Amino acid sequence: MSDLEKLQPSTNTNSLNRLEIEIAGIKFQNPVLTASGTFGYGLDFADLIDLNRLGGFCSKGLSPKPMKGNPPPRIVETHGGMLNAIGLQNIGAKAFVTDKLPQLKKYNTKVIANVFGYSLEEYIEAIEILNDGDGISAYELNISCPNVKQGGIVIGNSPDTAAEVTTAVKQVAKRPVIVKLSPNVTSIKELALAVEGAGADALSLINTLVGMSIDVYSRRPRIANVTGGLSGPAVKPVAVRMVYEVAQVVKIPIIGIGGIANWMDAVEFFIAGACAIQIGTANYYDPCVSIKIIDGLLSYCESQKLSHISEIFNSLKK
Amino acid sequence: MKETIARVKEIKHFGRSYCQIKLVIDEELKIEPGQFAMLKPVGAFEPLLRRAMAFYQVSTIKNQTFVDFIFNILGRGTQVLAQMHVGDKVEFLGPLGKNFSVLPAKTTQNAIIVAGGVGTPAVLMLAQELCKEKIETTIFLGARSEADLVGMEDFSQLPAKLFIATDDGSVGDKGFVTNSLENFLKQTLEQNKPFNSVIYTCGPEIMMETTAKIGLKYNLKTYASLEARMACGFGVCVGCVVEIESKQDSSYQRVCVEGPVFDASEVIW
Repeated sequence: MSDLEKLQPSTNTNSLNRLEIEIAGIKFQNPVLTASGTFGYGLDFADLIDLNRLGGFCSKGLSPKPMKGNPPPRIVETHGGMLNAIGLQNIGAKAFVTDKLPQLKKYNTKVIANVFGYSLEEYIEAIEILNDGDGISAYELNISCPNVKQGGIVIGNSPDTAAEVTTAVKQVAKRPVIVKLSPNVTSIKELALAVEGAGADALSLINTLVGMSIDVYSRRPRIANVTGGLSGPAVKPVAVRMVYEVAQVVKIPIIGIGGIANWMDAVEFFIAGACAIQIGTANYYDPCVSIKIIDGLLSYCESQKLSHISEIFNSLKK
Repeated sequence: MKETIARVKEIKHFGRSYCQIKLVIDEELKIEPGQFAMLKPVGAFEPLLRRAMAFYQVSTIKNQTFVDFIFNILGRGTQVLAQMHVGDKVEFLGPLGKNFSVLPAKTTQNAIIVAGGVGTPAVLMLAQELCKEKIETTIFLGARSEADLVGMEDFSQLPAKLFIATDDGSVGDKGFVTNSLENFLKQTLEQNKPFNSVIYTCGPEIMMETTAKIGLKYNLKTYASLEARMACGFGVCVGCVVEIESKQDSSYQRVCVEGPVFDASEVIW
């Protein structure tokens, strides 16, 4: 039997407290969240898992107005992962506030609204719409989009522009702001420090790595956008390294993301310096994975005699 | 939609590179023609994603559901499924997607099915339901050659007219199945006007596109069951979209939720 299967779900209800965490003043019943773009608007999973058990989820990226998205094909599976170029198709911030949030009210889980824009103004516009929404705990900024006003430079690829967006959003946001970092940078530490300096309440990392896949017979790219974001287990070592590096230099909380598919993956991120995790691609091929990870973490606490999961945060031994 | 573990009841290989598997699920599931499931052997690390498979046949006996799938072994996903043995466990999410509806054909009392290649299994349940409803049904099946025709023994048992076309002429008409369809429509219209029917199609994209055009030409409502690469199968990845025309603009709709069955006249091919 593998280590993954050895642990049995904990039945001790008191032990649930062992997973409670707090980020930027928000209390999460556990550190298991789901990543933007892999969990729809939350309701899509209501028939599959008990949403009341989830620490929280990040909505699909929201823009001020609905977005049509990229032409297909949008996805392709690669070894240990997949490439996607969805093009941020979404219903728009307004529809999220009026159609989705009221339905989410009955669930005991934290809603994080993921926000993106193609200019500073768009970020602010989306945040202002969402500020009126009832039931949002925090914002997560996707800064991996090209800025149309700056010749298409990706906002999150430069510490300066990333800090600029963070400052602007912090001025209008009525809720804590988590900034989601792009791994497609020379120094993730510099980017993290710039965003922290600009007032971010927390960081989440990593977003997808830019990749490409080619059909050798047609010699065409396998996705219409030519390049796409790589996600899945293949990216986990890169993500763990980046979380570790950032944890050495920032003081704000870090949410680890990248290829997490089981509780052991989650624990790796905690040891590297994260105090919560987001599950992404695994939601696609194992829709109940988030609940399995929560159960796995409870059992791990018991077997390792941890009174609280935070005892292993940033605990790498050398 | 149910997330569960199914077991392999039967598995057989036939033709050029085809595989038929029968799975058993320990509960009763209501499955409609044209719906699909996402499948992957339990414990398989590669490939990562489950594969979308249309239901070929379904039966329910004593709190158990038996489901059959027929697929062409093409890539890593279908390879691992084809390598399973009786008793092996399969991750199963389903039934998924919008089904073929026989309602439009109830109005016309006449239906035409045009299927090709591995799209053929997806229409057997539809054909069975049309026949059960006593709707006059004509089925056109196309394949590259005789060795690529799937499900013949089941289709030929139905009280429906059956036309076969193969690219190499090894059985039935030589040529595309859409040529056989058009010839049939021409003759039928010459003999008995007015003629009204509903066309259902599933198969290679070019075949469905041609069928959609023929449908428009003869003013026959046409429904196409589309195929697309899917990561999740239940709407969250938004990876499997197809462009659909609407009154003002076009939009990208998910094959897994808004489809796989679409009004073919609205699909931007």
